Amino acid sequence: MLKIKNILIIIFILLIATACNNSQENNEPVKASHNGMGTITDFIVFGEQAEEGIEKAKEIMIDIEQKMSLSIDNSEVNKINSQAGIEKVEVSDDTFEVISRGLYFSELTEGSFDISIAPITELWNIGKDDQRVPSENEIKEKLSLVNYKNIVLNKEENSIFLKKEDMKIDLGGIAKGFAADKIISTFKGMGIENALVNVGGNIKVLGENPQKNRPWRVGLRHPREARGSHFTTTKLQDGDTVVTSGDYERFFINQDIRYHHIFDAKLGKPSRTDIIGVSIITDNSMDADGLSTSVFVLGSQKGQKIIEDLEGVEAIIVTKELKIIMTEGAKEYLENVKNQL
Amino acid sequence: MTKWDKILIVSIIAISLFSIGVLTYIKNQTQVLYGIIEVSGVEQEVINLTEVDKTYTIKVENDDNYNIVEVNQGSIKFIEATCPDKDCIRIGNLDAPGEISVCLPNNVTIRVEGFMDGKDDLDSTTY
Repeated sequence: MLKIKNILIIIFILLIATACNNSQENNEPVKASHNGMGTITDFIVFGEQAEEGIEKAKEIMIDIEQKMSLSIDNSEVNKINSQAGIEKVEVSDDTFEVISRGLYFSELTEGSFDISIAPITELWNIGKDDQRVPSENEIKEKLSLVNYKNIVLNKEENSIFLKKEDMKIDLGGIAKGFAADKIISTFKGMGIENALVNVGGNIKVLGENPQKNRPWRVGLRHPREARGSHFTTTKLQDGDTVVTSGDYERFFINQDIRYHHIFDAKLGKPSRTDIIGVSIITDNSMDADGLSTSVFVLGSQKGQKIIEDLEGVEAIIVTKELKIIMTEGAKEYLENVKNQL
Repeated sequence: MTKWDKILIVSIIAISLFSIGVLTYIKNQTQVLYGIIEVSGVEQEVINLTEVDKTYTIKVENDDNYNIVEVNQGSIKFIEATCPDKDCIRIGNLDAPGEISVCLPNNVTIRVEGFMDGKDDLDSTTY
């Protein structure tokens, strides 16, 4: 009798041990999505404050959209645009910061990247039902409105003035990166240690993936295969961000020419360089957003040069011939380094 | 307690620990399922079925014909089609790797592929 009792006790202890083992698996992240800023944002957040953090992140995104969207009538950006050539408009710190950073990229690229490109993008309307190739005259006319040097910033007043009537700015090229930065720093301030946010392709991480006990692993989109397919994998450390720009996201083909949504502001046309996709890895997502577009527009030679002059910024470029060019430091982030796709 | 009792106890402990090990291993190998939609043999959509929160539908058009695909967590199926035979709908739910449903008249295919959550698991992808 005693034997059976002993055995039963041991089995009981083992059952408890198994239960404990299961509760350790409680390290599940909270996953959520948000539809806003013209894109989908995905969150993967670990820790007790995950739910609260995601709620805050959604509020941040709604706030940024209210300030910077072109499709919200009373957004600050639309106010600036409607007062073009008339008077300056006082804006929030956020909008002021994004516009100032936008101008930095314009200077860096000598005007190939320009936040005042909106009159041109509206002319082409790529990705919309009425997309078309406009005439050279139409382009020339609208191009006269595109010049970042006509955007006047006043830091004391936090005001923005567009010098020419009908000028229009569009922060779409960098606002998503700004959102990713703000969300991650909010998470950090709340004490969240491990998180990943993907604002429409702008990815930024905090800590690592504790469930898998490894750094965050992010695939770089293959420029000629379906969304979700990747050609290499990056390992991101705490605070890293990666952003890809490519000619595949919104485009149409007319007489064998691919017209995509990334414009060369000097030409008023979709840029036509040797690059079809470029990924930037650094620690500031707004910079990564602006730089990926800048490098894309400048082409591999000039693009690589500006990246090499910047501290802590790495680039992985895919050319038309599906060759891969990368900065020396980029190799440390990649799991499998290839030269050709 | 006899010698045999002890052997019995030790074996039970050993078997239990082994089972815990096996269960943990299987758990860590959770599979990620992808639903793939192809039109005329060209991939149109790759959906991570494991991460689908709410059921939704996708209209897949090919010339004048269309199919409506319903995407659920862990599965995918045709629910509507302009084809005459409706074989694609009859096949029903696809929820395991390798399963495939083809709408021949419309030239639309849906299939499920699985990747072991091991070497190739990603947290996210840029686009």
